[in-house]
Amino acid sequence: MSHRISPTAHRGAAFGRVRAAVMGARFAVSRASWPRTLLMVVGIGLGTALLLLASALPGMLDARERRGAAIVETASDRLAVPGENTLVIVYANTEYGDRDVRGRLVRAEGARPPVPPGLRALPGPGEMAISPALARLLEPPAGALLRERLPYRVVATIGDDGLTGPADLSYYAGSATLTAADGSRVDRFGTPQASARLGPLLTLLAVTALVVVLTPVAVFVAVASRFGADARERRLAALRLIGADLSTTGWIAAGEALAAAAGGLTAGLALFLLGRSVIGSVELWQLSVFPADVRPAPVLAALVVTAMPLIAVAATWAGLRGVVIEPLEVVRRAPRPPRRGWRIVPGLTGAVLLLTLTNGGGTRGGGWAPWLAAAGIVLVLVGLTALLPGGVSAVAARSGRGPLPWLLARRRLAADAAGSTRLVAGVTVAVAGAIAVQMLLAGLAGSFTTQTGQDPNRADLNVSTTSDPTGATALATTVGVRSAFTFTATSARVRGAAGDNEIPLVVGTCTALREIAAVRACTPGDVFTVTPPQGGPRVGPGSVVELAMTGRDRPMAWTVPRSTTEVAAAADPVRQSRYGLFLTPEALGTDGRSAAGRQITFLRLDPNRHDAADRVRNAATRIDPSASILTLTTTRTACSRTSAAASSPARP
Amino acid sequence: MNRTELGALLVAADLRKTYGATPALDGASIEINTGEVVAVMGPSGSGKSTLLHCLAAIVTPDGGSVRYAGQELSTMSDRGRSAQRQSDFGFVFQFGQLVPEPTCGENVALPLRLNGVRRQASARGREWLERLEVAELADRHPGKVSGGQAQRVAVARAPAPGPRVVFADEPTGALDSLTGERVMHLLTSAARESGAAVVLVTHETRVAAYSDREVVVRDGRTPTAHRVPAARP
Ligand SMILES: Nc1ncnc2c1ncn2[C@@H]1O[C@H](COP(=O)(O)OP(=O)(O)OP(=O)(O)O)[C@@H](O)[C@H]1O
Ligand SMILES: [Mg+2]
Repeated sequence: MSHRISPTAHRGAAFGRVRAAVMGARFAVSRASWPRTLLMVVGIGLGTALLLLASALPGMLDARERRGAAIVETASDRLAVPGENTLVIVYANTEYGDRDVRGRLVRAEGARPPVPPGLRALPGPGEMAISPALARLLEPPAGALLRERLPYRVVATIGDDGLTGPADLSYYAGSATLTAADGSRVDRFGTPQASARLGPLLTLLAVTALVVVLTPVAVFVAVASRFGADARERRLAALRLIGADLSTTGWIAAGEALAAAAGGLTAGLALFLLGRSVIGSVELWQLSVFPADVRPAPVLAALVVTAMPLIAVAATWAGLRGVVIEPLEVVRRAPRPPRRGWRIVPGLTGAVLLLTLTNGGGTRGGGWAPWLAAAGIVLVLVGLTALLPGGVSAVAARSGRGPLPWLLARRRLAADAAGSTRLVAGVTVAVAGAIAVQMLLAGLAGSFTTQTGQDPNRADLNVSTTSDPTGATALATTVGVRSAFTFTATSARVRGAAGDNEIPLVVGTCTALREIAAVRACTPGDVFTVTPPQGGPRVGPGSVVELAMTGRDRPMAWTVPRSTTEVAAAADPVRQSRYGLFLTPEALGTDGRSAAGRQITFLRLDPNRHDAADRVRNAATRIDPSASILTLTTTRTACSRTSAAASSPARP
Repeated sequence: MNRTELGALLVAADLRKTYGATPALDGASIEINTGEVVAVMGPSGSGKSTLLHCLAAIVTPDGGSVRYAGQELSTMSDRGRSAQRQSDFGFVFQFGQLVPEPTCGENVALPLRLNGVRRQASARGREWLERLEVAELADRHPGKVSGGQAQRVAVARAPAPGPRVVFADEPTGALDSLTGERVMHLLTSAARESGAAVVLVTHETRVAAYSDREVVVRDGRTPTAHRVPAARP
């Protein structure tokens, strides 16, 4: 037998495959096929962009952590005395509207002070360096009130190195008078970076969100690839006639899929780059990301880029498995016996997994819990997608008679449930997934949200400044303030007491004392005591205490009068119970001096004046640039308070 | 190889093919010599198309043998039969043979491309369209031309890669009689020029007149089939 060798075989099988694939790629972009190709490009593009973004997530967190660690002010071991390279730094964080502003007051103590990242030099007295986002926020008229609070001359812009994200509101202001007692003495910036890792809940959220977003995309691609499949099979049959063998038709189909995948990858990359360029202007929960920090992990990105075409080809071949393409005809293989049993398995496994985890109160599985939960959610979603088409065709096949259109529609559904129902399944999964994400977010918010115990009905703001006799009036008379009460919180030394001889001491009007202790009858000159619950020095009538007074170098001795009343403790609006000595100002005498300490004011604001809070913050900052101002809320979310939220260092 | 086999390019003997309970071929035999034009005639449903498909290695018969140039086609793998179709056979069917996506010109060039011809494929495609007097269809898609025009494109495609046998099943079925005759003339003369044999299924005697001889199929059998001693020069 003389075997004729076909040209294809002659030039090598690989060459033939490439030729077939190229031919398929040309079909993919031909006029009749491009709608389908475009759909696939869109689907694959979306998937690619999402996966690239997901692969960039760890890097994003890492960069954020690194940036945060780099700007932390740090003290070497012994910094008791000023040095050539020391810097006094005082936290001056503030809020504007509902935005947190990170602020630092600085004063160099020597010629070579450390300079924070993002700055070339420290701002001098009366000067400040601000972040670009803060510069935008300060622009009048919207920023006028904040500008009033930060009246320093702007001399520099904080560079990206000194920020965790482009939307960070941050400033460094120079001072001529700060001492280490006002804040802390540091000699460098930056701490070793703690490794950034997604917490278990965030991991769960990220994985679920990714699955939720990717499942419809995958379904979309699957539907798009079925779209026009008949035409494709007819085309392949026509090619079979003129001599394409089964492997050639397979490679032609693969070429089509590859063309779509290549287009999809390009679109996905473009989409990703586009997303990255706009991500700099996106802000969520006061978090923002520098585009430069959005870098896909190389290994993951390479995986995405190689997996997409492979999956596309594999899906195409899987689709062709159900048909026999002969020259002149396409034969659909008889549908396999309806063994749908396996379709129940993933959904069921997922449900069982989730139930077990929930019953354990979320503690089962230890560190694996979030991964198991994510797996459970994914399995349930996948199970839904797998089950729905079969279920629909079963229902369609069993449902009774009806009008002709219904019968036709039923036929179609029963025959090709996979095609049309997959679309529905995609939507179902998207909705179910969205609900899952929603629930996770709620859970997440719950785990980050704490009850503060504060009572916003009693006061809106709590201001703490250095003591200043005129300060209280200035705050109380600020536009938009409805009512206010002020007291001075300090401590006194109990004469003759051994060991811990400090006792808290509060000086305030009767109105103020009624708010912070169970005081009822009160006239100016009255003195009250609240016994500390955990012991400590006790005072009573006749005890002598020494306390610091404004404008005096030496503490003043004061005798607890006979008329002192013992009262019970009561929580103030921020749920702090105070104890010790409670004095009306008149009890200290009337020489015009007052006790030195923190001056604490609670204010109620006019709800109709939206800028009232910022006016009070301005007034407080005028009294004391490092005043600490608290907005009372019933709950607090950890997520929204990042590094900027740290309050002022404790002071006596 | 003996003399007869040298002359008879394609020899089918005792072909059987059953679709379900219907016997489409029931012991049909036929011989095609190099370069001759054979008309296969018979009533509708007699098995003409099935015979043609078996000869052209499109369908595998249930029984009997098909030998082409000394090789048994009926037991050959799909790959081998595909390769055979690609290199040695050309096809003109009534419909469904043009690929919808490429233009008519590209369709004619497709077999050449599958053969690995790249640069001259388009030029040769156009050349054949011109010979079939439908050069103006080169840039149009098969879906956008009339049935008759598509048929002429298919006729142009068959001889383009230089096959040794052209299989034609009712090639003029969609054409009016005048065009039909013109197309038959062009097809047979092209085949004669290149020395290709033509197996022509038709029930029109007018079309059969273009053949060198006729084979009648009846109930899946070929009662009149007889050996033709020698091929035409
Ligand atoms: N794919 C098929 N499936 C089932 N039966 C078929 C198939 N192809 C042909 N047949 C049957 O085989 C018999 C021969 O059919 P064939 O198409 O060969 O006839 P024909 O001579 O070409 O008819 P016509 O002149 O109408 O084209 C017919 O009875 C036909 O119904
Ligand atoms: Mg027929």
